[in-house]
Amino acid sequence: MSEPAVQMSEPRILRLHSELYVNAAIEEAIGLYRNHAEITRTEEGPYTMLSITSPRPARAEKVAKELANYALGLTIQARGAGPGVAR
Amino acid sequence: MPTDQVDAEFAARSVGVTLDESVYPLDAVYGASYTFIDRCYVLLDRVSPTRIRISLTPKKEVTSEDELRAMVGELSNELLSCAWRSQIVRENRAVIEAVTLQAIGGAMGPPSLDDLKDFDFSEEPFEDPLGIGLSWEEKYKKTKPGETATTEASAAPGGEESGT
Repeated sequence: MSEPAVQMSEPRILRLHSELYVNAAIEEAIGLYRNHAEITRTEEGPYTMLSITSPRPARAEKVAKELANYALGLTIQARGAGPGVAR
Repeated sequence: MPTDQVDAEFAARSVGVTLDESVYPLDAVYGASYTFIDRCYVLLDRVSPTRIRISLTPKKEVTSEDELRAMVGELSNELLSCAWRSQIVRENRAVIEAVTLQAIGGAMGPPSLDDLKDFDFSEEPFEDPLGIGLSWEEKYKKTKPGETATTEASAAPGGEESGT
């Protein structure tokens, strides 16, 4: 007997511009949050589009926001542009 | 707040600030955004080739629009501070690099015997027509009349060779 299919929420789309977010930072953030939601990555022009789905809609939203924050933090670290950092 | 440079939009629980990159460089945008990462969800977007949009969504529940307005004010201050700091760093880059190089050079300590062995001493000594490199004793010591005449004769243009 097969298990009932899990109802996934509507995908939450996160758009990250390639000039503002480092690719390695996006990759690392996806790797970190992959355990919490289903994340699909596509490229559309200068944007990296992340489609985030979860059985719970609130979780997809939360993961999208946390992932964006994490990717931004890593990008700032990678570019050495945090406050007080002389480049 | 000048709307042609910074433009804020208040949504239900978040605020978006669009700013001109010619006024606030990307480094300043990153620096200002970084200070909000602990209490807000921050999202950057490029709305046009010269304009960047910063979206802030507080992690805690916001009860009034005034809190969001205060947040925009704080972000604007931080942007200005980071832009100014970035400009100072850019202008003083040469000085910072020179001081850093000197500090690193000093930390390396005195040259070793091997370094001195490899040092090229064959270079010509520098010219010192004004006698700056001479000590006070060498420059003003009393000399005997015979020695003076010899010195003056050798120092004169043409010297002894001019008479022959």
